Amino acid sequence: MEWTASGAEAAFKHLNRVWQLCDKIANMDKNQSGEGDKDLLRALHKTIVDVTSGVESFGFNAAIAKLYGFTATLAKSKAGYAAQHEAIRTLAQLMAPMTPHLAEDIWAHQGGQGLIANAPWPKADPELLIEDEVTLPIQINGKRRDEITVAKDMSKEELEALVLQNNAVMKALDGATPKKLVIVPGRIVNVVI
Amino acid sequence: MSSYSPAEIEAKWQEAWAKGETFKAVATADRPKYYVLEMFPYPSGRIHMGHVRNYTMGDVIARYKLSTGHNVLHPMGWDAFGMPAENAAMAIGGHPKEWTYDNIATMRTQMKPLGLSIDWSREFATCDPEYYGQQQALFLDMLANGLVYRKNAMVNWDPVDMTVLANEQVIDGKGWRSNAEVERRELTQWFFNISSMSGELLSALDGLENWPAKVRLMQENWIGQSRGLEMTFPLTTPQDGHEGITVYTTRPDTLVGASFIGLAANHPLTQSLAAQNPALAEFCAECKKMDTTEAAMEKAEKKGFDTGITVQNPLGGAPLPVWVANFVMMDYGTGAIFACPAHDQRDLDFARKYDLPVIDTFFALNDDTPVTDVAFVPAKTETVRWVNQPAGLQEATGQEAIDATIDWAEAQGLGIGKTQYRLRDWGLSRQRYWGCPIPVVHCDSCGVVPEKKENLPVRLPDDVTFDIPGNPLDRHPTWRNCACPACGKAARRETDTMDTFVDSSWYYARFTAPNAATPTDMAEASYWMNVDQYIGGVEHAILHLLYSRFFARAMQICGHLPPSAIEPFDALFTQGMVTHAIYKSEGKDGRPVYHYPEEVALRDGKAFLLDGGAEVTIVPSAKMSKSKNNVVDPISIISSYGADTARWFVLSDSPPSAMWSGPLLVRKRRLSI
Repeated sequence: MEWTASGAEAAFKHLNRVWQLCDKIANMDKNQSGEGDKDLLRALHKTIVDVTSGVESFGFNAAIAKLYGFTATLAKSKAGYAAQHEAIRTLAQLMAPMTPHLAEDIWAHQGGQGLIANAPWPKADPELLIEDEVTLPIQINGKRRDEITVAKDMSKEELEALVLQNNAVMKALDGATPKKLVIVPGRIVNVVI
Repeated sequence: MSSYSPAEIEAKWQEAWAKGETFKAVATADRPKYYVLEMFPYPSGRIHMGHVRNYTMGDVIARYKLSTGHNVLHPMGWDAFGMPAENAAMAIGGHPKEWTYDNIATMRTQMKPLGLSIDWSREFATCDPEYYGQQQALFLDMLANGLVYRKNAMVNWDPVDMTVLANEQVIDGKGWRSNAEVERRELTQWFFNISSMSGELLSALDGLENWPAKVRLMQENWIGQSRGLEMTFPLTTPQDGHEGITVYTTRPDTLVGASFIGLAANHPLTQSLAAQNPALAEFCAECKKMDTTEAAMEKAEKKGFDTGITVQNPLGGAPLPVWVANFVMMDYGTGAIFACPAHDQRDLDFARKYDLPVIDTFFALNDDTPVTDVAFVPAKTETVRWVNQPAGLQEATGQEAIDATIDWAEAQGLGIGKTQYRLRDWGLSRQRYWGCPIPVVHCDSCGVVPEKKENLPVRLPDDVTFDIPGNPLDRHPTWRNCACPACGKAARRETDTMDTFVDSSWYYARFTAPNAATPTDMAEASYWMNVDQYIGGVEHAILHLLYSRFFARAMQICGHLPPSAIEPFDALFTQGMVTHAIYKSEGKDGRPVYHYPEEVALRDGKAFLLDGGAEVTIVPSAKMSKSKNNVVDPISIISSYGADTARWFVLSDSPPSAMWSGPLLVRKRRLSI
C-alpha cells in the first residue's frame, strides 16, 4: 500500500466530520421530528450488514467505504432526533473496531452505557433490509433502452400502463401499438415493436 | 464539545480501558473464546508502518469479537534473540541484553498510543530467562521423545569471525562481515527430526481451509514429496564389501538413458575407494568445501572423478562407469544416482565435459532430433514417444511412464517404489551468544547428558564482551564449567545456542499461560488454543509456519498441547508490505541519493526538496526500506493526526492481501535424481 501524507490528511478530515456530526446531533432538540426517518434507518441497517461482512472477511477497505457512504447519508438527512441519534450511535459502534477512541467519545456523548468496547455489536433488523422497490430494465426489441423503478408489489396492469408512458418507449413506438409487451414481474420488461 | 482533539480523547480512553482491564483475557465457561494473534515483532528499536498495519488489522478483529460475546485473547510479545543485538554490540559497544530491552521499552512506548486492545499482562520477550528456561524444558522433553538428535554436519565457517554462518550470510564465498574466504567444516550439531513428519505435515495441509492457497502450495513445494524408485546396480567387481550401488531416482522412466553412476563425495563407497586413492581423497576434500545451497549448487561448475569401477546395467548392455560427482548430495536419497544426460541438463553438462554417452530415451511426438547441448526436459504431463521403454510404453506422458516403470521394476524384482521428501532435518545449533542455551552437558565419562530440569533455566552469563571474534560463551572463564548431571564429576556445558526460529515456534502456546511453571498449562492451552486468526507477513509463509506446525505436533507428543492443537493456526491472513513512494536525486558522484518523505514537498504531481527546492524523481511504491529512506514514521503521523487517523488510513487503502506480489512459488528442484 502507499502511505501518502494527503491520504492521512483525508482520513483525519473524515473523522473530524464524524465528530462534528455527533456534536450537531447531540445539540438537536430531543423531540424534534423530521422527514425520511425510515430511509435513514434503512440505510443504517444496510450499513450494519455490509460493515459486518467486511470485518469478518478482512474487507476492511470495503467496510470503510460503506462507512464513508453512510456518514454522507447521515449528514444530509433531515430525519428527526430519534432516528439521527440511533444512526450516530450505531455508526460509532460500527467504527469502534477501527477508530476506538473516537467511537468511545461519541458513545459517551450520545448517552451510551459503559464502554463501547463492551457494548454488543449492532444487529441488522431484517424488516428494515427488505427492499420495497425494484428496478426493472426496459428492453425494446431485445435491446436495453431504459429502466424503471417501481413498487415491488405493483400489479402487471399498473406496470403496463407505466411502461407505455415511458419516454424511451413512447419515442420508439411513435404513436403505434406494440406488437407484444412482455413483463416478467420483478425481472424485466420487453417491448416488441 | 468543540473540535476533534485526538490528543485529548485518545489518552483519556486508553486510561479508561487500562483501568477497567477491558482487554484482560479471562477463560470462562459461559462464553466462546477467540484467540487472535499477530506475528510478534523483532525489537529493532522502532515501529514502522508495517507493524501498525499488522496490529491494527488484528485489533479490528479482536475488538469485533469482544463485542460479539467472545472471551478474546489478544497478546503481544517480543521475538528478542538474534544476531542484530550482537552486531550492535560489536559495532557500537554495549551489551546485547541492554540493547534488546532498551529497544523493547522504546517500541512498547511507541505502540501503546495506538490504543490496541492487547492484554499486556501476558507480555514476554523470548530472551526472558522465564521463557527460554521453559524452552529448554521443552527441548529436554523433545530429546527424551526422539524429536531432537545430534549428528555431524557441514557448516559454513568464517575463520576470521570464528563463527558458523547461515547460507544467507555467505556472499560469493566470503563472510558477509569479515569478507574472509568461508570454509566448509564438519561440526557436531543438534537437529530437530522434522523430516520424520514430512508426510503428516504435507497431508495435513489439506485441512487448512482458512489458509491462503498460495501459502499451502509454498509449504507443499518446500516439503517436496516425490515418488520414485530405489534400485541397486550390482558392481561388476565387488569392492571392499560393497556388492552394489543403491540409487534413488524420481525418473525411473529414463533408465534406458543411463550413462553413468554418480556418487556423493561422502558416500561410504567413495570413502573406502578414497582411502586407497589419494587423488580421489583430494577431490572429495575439494567437494566438501562447496557451498551446498540449492542456488549455489545450480551455478557451481560440475566436476567429477572417474573411479575406474563399473556396475552392471540391469537392462543389459555395456557396464556403466562409476564417477564421484560434486553435485550429488549424501543427504538426499541414497547419495548415489544414475545419470540420464539426454533428459537432465546437469547430467548433460557433466557428460559433455567428461565425454560420456548421451542416450535419447524419448522424443517429442513430431521431432526425432537427438539431444546435443540442451537436454530435452518436457513437463511430466506432456505426451512423448518412447524408445525401448522397459515397461513397453510407446506414447505416454512422463508421469505415466514413471508409474509404469516403478510397477515394472517391482514386478521384475529390480527395485521398490519409494516416497521421498525434499524437507531436511532442522539444524538448530548456532555458535552465538544471544540465543537460548542448549541445555546439555558434555561429560568425559557419561558423554552428552541432558541438564536436570530443576537446574533450568541454564542462564546466559551477563559478563561477556564482544571485542574479539567468536562465541563469548566459549571463552567465558567459568560459565562452561559445571557438574555432570549424571555422575557429578566436572563437566562442560554446551556453548551452542538455539536458532531463533525455535523461539517463535511455540510462543503462541506460551501466551495461553505465560507464567506457567511448565512450558504450557494444559487447562489454559486447551481452552485458548488454537489461534483462531493468525496475521503476519507472507515472508514467513514457509519456515516460521512450518516450524510452528512441527512444534505443535512435538508439544502434543510431549504432553504440552492437546491433540486438537497440532495445527496451531486455524486461519491465516498474510499481508503485503507497506510501501511509500521513494524520492531520489543524483549526488555529485553520480550515485543515487534518497530523501525522506518529510524532506520533500509535492506540487502538481512533482516532488521538490524543501531544502533548496530542487526537483527530485518520484519512484512509485517500493517496499519500505531503511536503506532507501522511504520509511514513513508512524509516530509522527500519530502525533500530527492521532492514532485513530493512522488506524483508519492503514485500513482504508487497497485490500491487504491483493497488494502483495512477488515470487509466489518456491520452485520444485531436485538436488540429485
